[in-house]
Amino acid sequence: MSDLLRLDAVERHFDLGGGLAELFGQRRILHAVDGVSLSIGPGETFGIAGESGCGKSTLARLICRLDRPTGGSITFDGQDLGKLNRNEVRALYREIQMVFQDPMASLNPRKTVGRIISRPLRRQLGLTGTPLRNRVLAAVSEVDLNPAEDYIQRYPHELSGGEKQRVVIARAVALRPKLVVADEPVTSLDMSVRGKVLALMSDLQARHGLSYLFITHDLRVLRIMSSRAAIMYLGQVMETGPTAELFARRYHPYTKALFSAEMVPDPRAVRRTRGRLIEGEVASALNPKDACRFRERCPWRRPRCDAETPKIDAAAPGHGVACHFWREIAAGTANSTIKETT
Amino acid sequence: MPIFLRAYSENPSAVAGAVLVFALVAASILAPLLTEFAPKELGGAPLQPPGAGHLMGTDDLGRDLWAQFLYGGRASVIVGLVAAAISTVIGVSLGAISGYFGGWVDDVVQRMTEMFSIVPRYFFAIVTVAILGASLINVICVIGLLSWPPMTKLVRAEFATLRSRSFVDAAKMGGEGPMFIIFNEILPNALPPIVVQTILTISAAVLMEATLSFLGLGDPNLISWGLMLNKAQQFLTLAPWMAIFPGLAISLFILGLNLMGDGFNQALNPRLRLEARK
Repeated sequence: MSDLLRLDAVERHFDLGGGLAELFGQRRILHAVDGVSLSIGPGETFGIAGESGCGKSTLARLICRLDRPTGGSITFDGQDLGKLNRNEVRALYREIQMVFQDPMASLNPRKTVGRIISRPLRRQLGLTGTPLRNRVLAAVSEVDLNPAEDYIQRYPHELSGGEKQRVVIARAVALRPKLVVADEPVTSLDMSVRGKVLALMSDLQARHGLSYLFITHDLRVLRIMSSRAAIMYLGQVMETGPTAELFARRYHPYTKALFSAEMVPDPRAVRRTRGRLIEGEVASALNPKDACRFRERCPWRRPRCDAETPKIDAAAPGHGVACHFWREIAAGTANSTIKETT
Repeated sequence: MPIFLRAYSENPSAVAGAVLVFALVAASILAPLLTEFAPKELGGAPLQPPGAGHLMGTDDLGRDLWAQFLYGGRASVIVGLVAAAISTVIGVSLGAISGYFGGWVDDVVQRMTEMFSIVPRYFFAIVTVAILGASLINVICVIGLLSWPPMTKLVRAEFATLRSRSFVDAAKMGGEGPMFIIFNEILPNALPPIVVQTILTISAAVLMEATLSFLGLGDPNLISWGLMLNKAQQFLTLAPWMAIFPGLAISLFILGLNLMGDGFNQALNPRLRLEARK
């Protein structure tokens, strides 16, 4: 399979300095992204889900080359992102675009919608005059902001949250990129407009053959949008596979916990699954030792979990699980510290 | 901008400040229309108290003080504006670079800024003017070069906040270079505090010019309020009006500028605007 985007053991460690501990020769290193490998094919939507602080957004910035990895490599369309010079990066941004989480912050409050969308088209594609204007109007009406002539004169504060995010999407898609990295694109929107924005994104994907890297913490959104997905925890991928398969058969204790924490319409169903809810807070990503990242909250914790970071194990073709004991857990032969009520 | 104008005009002290400043500036510009005397013209009786012939009296050489008062304002206005322009250009550029790039660039610029801000301002100005000569240009340059550190700190802080907003990332992904991002994307969003700081810089520059002139370090050929005060020292008991009027002019001009600065701050800052209305 020819991948559009490929990540090999990508790491992003932030050196936070040592504070007092530096006196003893110890620095605090935050492992925001810690050895993530994944690949996205052309026209595909790959979902990434996880709690806040699991490194999803850092990963998005790395892929968009707004930040550089401290280890591993990112390959887009055959070129290594780490080896690009300034002009190649500019060219890369014709192929990769991003939709940001907070639409208010991602539109310059001092610029009209028209200027916001036209500037990249002029700079990147060299459009001017009437062709530029037509392209801008087309981009605006393509995201259902009509009449487009009216919208291009507005400032961001004159738009609703959903309209702002449509402008952000229009700006990203106007360049006809191959990959759009969407970092929680509907999280800050009202429930009522989420569905419409998601439908719009699916439409645009079908029309222009876009690939999406779709980051979300909402499993329902993950299920609707993505064909394959990875579940992240503290900078590492815990489980990855086709979305339908993850929803049908999840093996990793964290995936199980995350999925059972999702809101369920039937309260009796909640009672049935309560036994699997995770306890405690997300552990710290500071100086993690070689061990399973999830061990402190895992009901199936064993000595090996404290001594060795689990590698991704193939449970099925394309379905990987980063857990030492997923087979035993799946077979029901592992002892859990939390009693499952049935 | 109409929202800004309305907010500003609803604030009485801000309006009073603007009136004071514009009245004094207009008087100095329109000086030839407001008096028949030239500021250095001799001829009247010396040390006349304020009265019908000479509105503010005369000085020790019989020169009309009203004329000096009007023409003297020109020096203050010119020094204030030009010095503030110099310091704003330096301060904004350095602050923008420092805040946007961060890292070692930030370190270098900030250490430089700190060096300039720990220099005792008046001492440095007095020594420089004493060595290089007390011409108008020298006074303006010295004041301009001494007043930029607060602007740099302010702009740096604004840029450090704004650069992490995602519209900056979006601009990078639109293929824009750092200069475009600094001046076209970030700077327009940092303008309100810069405007306020510029007004306060004008006020500080005016005061500094007056101080230097009062100490006899201003341009001796250029009538200014500070120079008038300097001359008035010797006749303080004999002719107090020689000190009162220029002193009043300086105080009112500074007061007006500061009120304007406050007014701009409140009108440009939506949160303060709400509080002022309560």
